Formats: sequence, structure tokens, C-alpha cells
Amino acid sequence: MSENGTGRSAERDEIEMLLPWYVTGTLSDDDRVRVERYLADHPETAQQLELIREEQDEAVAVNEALGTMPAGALDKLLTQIEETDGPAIARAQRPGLMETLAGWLTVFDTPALKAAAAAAAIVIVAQAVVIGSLVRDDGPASYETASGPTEVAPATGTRLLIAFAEGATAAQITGLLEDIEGTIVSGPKPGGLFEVRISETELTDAAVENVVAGLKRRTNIIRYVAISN
Amino acid sequence: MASANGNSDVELIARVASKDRVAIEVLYGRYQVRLFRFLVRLVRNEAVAEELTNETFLEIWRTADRFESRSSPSTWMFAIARNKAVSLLRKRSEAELDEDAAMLIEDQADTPEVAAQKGDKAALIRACLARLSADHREVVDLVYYHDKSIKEVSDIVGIPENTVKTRMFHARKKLSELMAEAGVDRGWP
Repeated sequence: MSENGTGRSAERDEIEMLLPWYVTGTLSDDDRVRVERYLADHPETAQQLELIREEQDEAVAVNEALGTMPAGALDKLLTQIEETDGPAIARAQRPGLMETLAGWLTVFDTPALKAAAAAAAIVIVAQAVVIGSLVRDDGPASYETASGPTEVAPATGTRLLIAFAEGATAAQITGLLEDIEGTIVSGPKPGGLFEVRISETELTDAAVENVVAGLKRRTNIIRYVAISN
Repeated sequence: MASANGNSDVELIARVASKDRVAIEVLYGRYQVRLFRFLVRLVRNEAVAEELTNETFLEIWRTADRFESRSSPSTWMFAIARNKAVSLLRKRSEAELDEDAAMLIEDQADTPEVAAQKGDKAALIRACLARLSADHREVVDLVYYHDKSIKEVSDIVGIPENTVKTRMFHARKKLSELMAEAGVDRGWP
């Protein structure tokens, strides 16, 4: 085994260089196998992993403490696009709330980023709730939000209709959706209602009622909940 | 991989290339937070980072047709953002940069020494992270916060993969040295 100038083995240095990516799970398969073999042969190196996790926790904390883009920044961008590319797009081409929300929430693969995205998305939710409450109830096919017509998802699985409380925070809403493993599949409907799928399959009535009863107690987040037929 | 609703990043970039404004809005929603934070850490000024984030999305809008799948859309967008920041930093005077850096350090709640005296290890690590060089801080953020692989960091920063590894290694060593100076021995390196 070769030794470098500090008396440490070159192999150890090479493996230590890979450890941050080993911890974050972004190492190539070959390198991951190499690291795992080394760790098995040199268990004392595992202490490094703990140091790296500490560093990662604080790097995440530092970044999480930063803000997000201000409200209105997207409008500014779209205005600049219109200025360079021509007249405003037709209303029907604007994204529906669901597309925007889905886009904002799907790719955030770390809890920190997911929360930040939700914080931004809540502005849209709040807007939709307000707008939804002003729209007269002409049935599910006729409503429209300021962001454009709402897409109607296939009616599959077990679904609830939920209206979020005005004071509910982004973290509370995303936390609640995670708790019930819920996915917003359509909305907002008149009254600010969102259709939330809680299971890909049809749950029993008792199971659904149990979920609804639990949600009704969370009045700080939910102002209305019912089974969607 | 194509998604059921045409909303994978690659599909969105293709839609942006065909001037689909819905796609740029969705892409903005997905990436504005992480690009903004990446830029704040590079330029150390929120107002400037806001402008650069906006410029980054404008550039994505204008050049999406030139996106090639050699890297992921995310990596491509981070590289655009970084280039914007580097161009701006080159134009700014050393004095301005020093002023911003000083302001950012003042924002830290504790110095490493104070954090060490309080026995607050998490705060100590944060204080020492703030004192890393810009190059070291950048790679630490890309790896630890943005979950970028060695190849992705290489593509974003424009340095060889071996340099990415050694830069991260030296950033971590420097962090340990700063902590040692504050009186906390991590037992590594």
C-alpha cells in the first residue's frame, strides 16, 4: 500500500474524497461498491460518515435559512418574455393551478426544498381559495381560476374534497398531505375545494370515514372535508 | 424518461424550446428556490441574486432549443445561473465584494469562538462554513444541499471531476482546521 507525504495511505485519501457523495447517495455504482468494500475492511473510517452527516445537516440549515424569490418575480419574468417574444398568451394557455402546483412540488427531492417550494405554492393556494369562494357553483366543468381552466383528473381511487383553512401554513398543508399520503388531483373547485386522492384503490367506507374524522379535528389546517363521490 | 403528463424536466425544456409559456412557469416553480439560493450563496446579496435568477430563466427561455441531453436539465440550468454570477462578480470591484462578504459574516449569529465556548457544535460548523473560501463554499453547497454528483458538480463549475473531489476534500479539511482553531478537535484529518 502506498503512503503519501503525511503517512496516510493514498487509498484512504481516495476513499475519503468519495465519502461525501457516498453519504448523499450520489456516487456511481462502481465507486459506491469500492467505498463499501473499504468501509468493511476499515471500520474505523465509518466515523468519517458521522462527521460528513454533521456537515451536511449544517450546510442544509444555512441554505434553508435563505429566502425565496419575492412575490411577483414570476410575473416580472413573464412580462419580460412577452416584451421580447410578442403579445400576451391567451388565457386558455396559462397553466392551471394543478399543473403549477404539481410542478412546484414534484421535483423537490429534499425536505428543505420541498418546504420552500410549498411556501411559494401556498400563495397560489390562498389565491385559489379566495377566487374559488367567489365563483358561483355551476358544477365542476364550468369553474375557472385566475390561472386558467382547471384540469379534471380521472376519477380513480379514494378521494376527498378538502378546503384548507385560511390561516394554514405551507408546512402544515404539506405535512398534512404527507400524513394521509394524499395527492391533490384537481381543484380548486367552487368554495376553494381541492380534490385529494388518499388511496389508489377504493378504501372501505369505515376506513375513509376514519380518515375524514381525523381530518375534521385538524381545524387549524382544514375548514371543510368530505368524501368525494 | 417521459412522464405521463409531459412534465419531466427534459419534456419541459423541449416545451420551452417551442415557446410554451406554461412550461417555463412550471420550470420556474420547480427551480426558482434552489437557483435563487445557489446564487445568493455565490453573490452574497439577495437583491442581486433575484436579478440573476430572473436572468437565468430568461436565458433558459431563449436558449432551451440549444439544450442537449449530455447533462441533465437541472445541471444545465445551474451552469447557466453560475455563469451569470461569475460574469457579474468579474465586473464588481474587490471593495464591493469585501463589503458584501463582511455583511454576510456579520449576519452569522456567532463567531466560531463564541459558538465553541457555548458548546454549540451545530452553530460552530455553520460559522466555520461561512468562513470557507467562495470556491470551497460553492462545492460544499452543491454536494450537501443540492445533492449534485461528482459529474454534475464538474459540469456546473466547469472543472475536471478529480478537481471536484480534491476541492471538496480540501474544503472539509479547512472546515476541520477552522473548528480546531476555535478549540474543537474533530479527530479528522
